[in-house]
Formats: sequence, structure tokens, C-alpha cells
Amino acid sequence: MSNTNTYTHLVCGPIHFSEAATISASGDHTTGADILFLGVIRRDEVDGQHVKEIIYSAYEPMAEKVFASIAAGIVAEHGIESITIRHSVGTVCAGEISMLVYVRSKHRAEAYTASRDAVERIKAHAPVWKKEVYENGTHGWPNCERCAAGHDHAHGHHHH
Amino acid sequence: MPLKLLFFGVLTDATGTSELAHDLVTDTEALKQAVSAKFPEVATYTYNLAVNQEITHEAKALNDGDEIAFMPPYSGG
Repeated sequence: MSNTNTYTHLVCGPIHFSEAATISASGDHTTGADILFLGVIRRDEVDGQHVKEIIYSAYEPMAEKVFASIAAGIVAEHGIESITIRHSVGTVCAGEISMLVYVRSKHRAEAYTASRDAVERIKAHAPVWKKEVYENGTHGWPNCERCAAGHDHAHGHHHH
Repeated sequence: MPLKLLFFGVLTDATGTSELAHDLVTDTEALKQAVSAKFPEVATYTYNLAVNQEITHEAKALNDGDEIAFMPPYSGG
């Protein structure tokens, strides 16, 4: 069964808000509820340093398959009309968009639940990693349990 | 054709690389030991393996040309 209602891919660099407009303007007017989720880079403070940018990397062929599978699952399980998932790889600066999940359905109830479920599944299952680059040029890896313990373990600090 | 190893996330720091060719070994457990011997820091991290893009939690026999990804906890989304 081919899926013409799921659109997923990795994007090089930040995602542009105008992509949401393109999605919104597309389609055949069968949907009445659009829910757009944007993942945006926060200028977090980590150990006294602010995040300047995030460098995303992915196991790309596997990530594409995982996104496609998540998209198909969300459409089937929530009964929505379509879902678009985009995720950045490469450098995304604080304030820029690194993920887009655009759900379209006939009615709003399933749109809300599908959107939330899609974001949670992406976070849990997509083979994507983020490297935080701080304003002083050092970097860290969120979700690394050793990193969470502090910066004084053997960890390369790369200066650019 | 040897094995193709891919390292992701913090493991690229631990190994200094994102990709490495490796001689064939019996299975994923033998591979983990060989990699940890070469890069001791790898053994201090939690990671999953994927063989040809399929995650495997148990020892899995390896074949020539297999691609094995060393994947620490995801942090996308």
C-alpha cells in the first residue's frame, strides 16, 4: 500500500517557516484542522555557558525509515488525513527551527492527539543526535549520562 | 569486504571518527570487545547497536559487508 499522505524527510540546516505555508496551501480541501508543531533551538544555559547552536547528526538511511514508519503509524492509528515530518541535520542556530510536524485532519480532536504522539515517537525512536555548541566554542552532548554529571570527565572539548 | 562501523553522537568524540572499516569478527559481542580494546572510552558509554539498520540487543552473528552502527541514546526531536 503506498502512502501519499505522509511526507517525511531530513533537511540540511534550519527549517524555514515558509515550508509550513507551502503545506498549508497544498491539498484538496478535505481537512478542517491543521496542527503545526515546531521544534526551535533554545538559547539554554549549561554550566554558565549559553547554547549558540546545535549540530544535528543522524543515521540518515535509518532515520528516513523511522520517520516514514512513524508517519504511517500516526495516520493509521489517529485517523488523520496527512502528516509531514521534517528534521534538520547540520547546524541550526538558537532561535531557528529544527523540526516540523504538520498534521492535517478533518476534525481537531485527532489532530491534537496525533501531533503530540508524533513528536513523542520522534524523540523516542529517531536515530538523531544533537551536539550543543556553546558561546565559548566548547561542546556537549545532551542525553549523555556522563555529560549530565559535569564537564570534568574525559571528554574532548573542541575549539573552533 | 570487511565490516563497516559507524559511530554516532558522543561516540564520535570517544573514537575520533564517525566511520571505520573493521575485520570480520564472529558476532556483535566480539565486535564490542574489539572496539573497546581499541577505544577504551567507548566502554564507559551506554549505546545500542544496529546491524544493517536493525537494532539488536542480543549477540548477533556478523557477515562480510555488514554495517554496524554504535548509537548512544537519541537526542533528536
